[in-house]
Amino acid sequence: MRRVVVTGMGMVTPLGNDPAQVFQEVLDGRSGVVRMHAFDAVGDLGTRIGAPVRAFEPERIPRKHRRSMSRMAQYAANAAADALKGAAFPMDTLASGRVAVCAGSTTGSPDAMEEFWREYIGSNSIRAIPSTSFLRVMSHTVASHLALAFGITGSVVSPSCACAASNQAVGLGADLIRLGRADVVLAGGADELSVLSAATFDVVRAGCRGHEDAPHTRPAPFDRTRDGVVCGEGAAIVVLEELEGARARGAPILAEILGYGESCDATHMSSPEADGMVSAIERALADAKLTPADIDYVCAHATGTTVGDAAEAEATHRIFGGDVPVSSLKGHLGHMLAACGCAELILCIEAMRRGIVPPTLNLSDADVAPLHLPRVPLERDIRRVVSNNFAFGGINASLVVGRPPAGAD
Amino acid sequence: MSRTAESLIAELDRIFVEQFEVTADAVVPGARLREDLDLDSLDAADMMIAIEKRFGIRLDDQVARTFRTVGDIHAYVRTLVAEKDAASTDDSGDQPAV
Repeated sequence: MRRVVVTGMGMVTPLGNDPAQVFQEVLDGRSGVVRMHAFDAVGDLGTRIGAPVRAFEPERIPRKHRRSMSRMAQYAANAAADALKGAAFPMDTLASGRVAVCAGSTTGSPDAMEEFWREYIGSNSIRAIPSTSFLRVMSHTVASHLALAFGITGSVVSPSCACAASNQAVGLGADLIRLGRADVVLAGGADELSVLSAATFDVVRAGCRGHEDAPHTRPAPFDRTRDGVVCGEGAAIVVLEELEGARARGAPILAEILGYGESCDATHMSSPEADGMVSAIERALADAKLTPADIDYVCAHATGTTVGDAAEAEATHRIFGGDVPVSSLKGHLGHMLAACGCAELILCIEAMRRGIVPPTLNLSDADVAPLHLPRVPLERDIRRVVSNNFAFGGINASLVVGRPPAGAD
Repeated sequence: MSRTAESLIAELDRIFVEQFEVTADAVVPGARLREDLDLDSLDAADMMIAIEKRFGIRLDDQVARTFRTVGDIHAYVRTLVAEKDAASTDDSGDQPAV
C-alpha cells in the first residue's frame, strides 16, 4: 500500500494565514468572530455575527487567473501557493499529469450567484451578465481555478458536500495517491462568508442569533448555553504526496494520513445521528489499522448546535470513552464550512508538532456525554489524531492523521 | 449632455486601466488588444458590458468581433455616442411644452 504524507500546508482564516501563528492564537484564546454589519441589510436575518478572513493578498494571483475567481477561489489560491512553497515543491512538475487537485466548496460563490440573479431577474435580460459570472458560480470553481492557477494537468475533483467537503477532499485525495492515480494532490476546501451562507443556517434554525454586543463569546461548542452555528470563511489546502516520492526529493514531511472513513446517516437531511458518526470514525480507524486506544486527541466537528454537538459527544464517547482529550476549534474560527476540515487538519498537525491539545473556546459548562474536554491548552505527547466533520445530508467524514513516519524529518 | 471627444476617450481608456489592469501608458490607439494588451475572448465580452454600462449604448456583436486595436474601439464608441447624443437632442426638441 502506498503511504500518503503531508508536505505542505496553507490557510486563509479569520485568525490569520500562517498555520503556526493561527495555532498560537488558538492557544491564546483568540476569536475570529465579529459583528457583521453587512448582515443588517436583511432585516429578518437572525444572525448578526460571523468570522470573516482577517486579510489575504489577491494581487498575488495574476489577473488572467483572478478575473474569474470568486473570493473563495482567491482564498484557495493563496492557501495553495503557501502550501506549495512550504513543501518546496518543484513547480516545473505540476504539469506532469501526476499531480491532481481535490478541493471542494459548499456551492459556487454565493456572491456571484446573487450578482447573476440580481442582474437577470432585475432586467429579464442576460446582456449585462459578465462572461466570468458562471465561472464563479459553478460548483467546481475552487478546484478548477487551482488547476488553472498552478498549471496542474492531472485529475481535478471537487467534492461539494458542505461542512464535510475538505475532510472528504483530503480522504479522496489520499485515495488517489494510494490507488496510484496520482503522486501528488493539492487537497482541501474553501468557502466565502455571505448573507446567503449565514441565511442557510438561519432558515433551518441552526444559526446563532443575537450576541451582537459580544460576538467573541459565540459559538459555544459543547456548552450548556450553545445556541447555533457562527458562519466563517476561508481556505485550507495541503500538499499530499506519496511517501517514497516525498522522501526521494527531500520534501519536508509534516504528517502522515493514516486512514479515512465516511458514512451517511440516511435518516434526516439536517438532524445528525450518533450512529452514522460512529460508523465514519470506526471506518477511519479500521482503514488506519488502529484502535481507539491508539488515538491521543480527537478534533471534533462540534459547531455549537444543540442537537449536533450532543450527537457527536455521544458518538465520540461510545468509541473513545471519556479519557481522550477532545476539542472543537469552531469557537475560535467560526464555521469555515467547506474549509473547516482541512483547516482543522492543519491545526491538528500543529498540535502534534507542538505537543499541545488546544482547548474549546467559549466552553465552561458542558452538558453533553462525558468527554475529556480541556478548558486550557494541554501538554500531551500526541502521536495520532482523529479529526471529524459532519455535513447536511447526514454525511460524516473522519480522518486519522499521525506524526511523520520513522525516518522522515 | 455631450462629452468632448477627449473626455470620451479618457473614459474609455479608464476602463482598460481599472477593469483590465492595463497600464495607462500602454493604452494608445495603435495598441493591439490581443498581442499588446493580452486581452482575450472573455475580456472582450466583459469589455462590451463595461462600455455599454458606462455610456448607455448597445454595441453590435458583429462589429465588436472586428476590433483589433484600442483605436478601433475608440472610433466605434465615438460614433455610437455621437448618434445617441444626436437622437437625444432631436427627442428633446420634440417634447411638448407642459
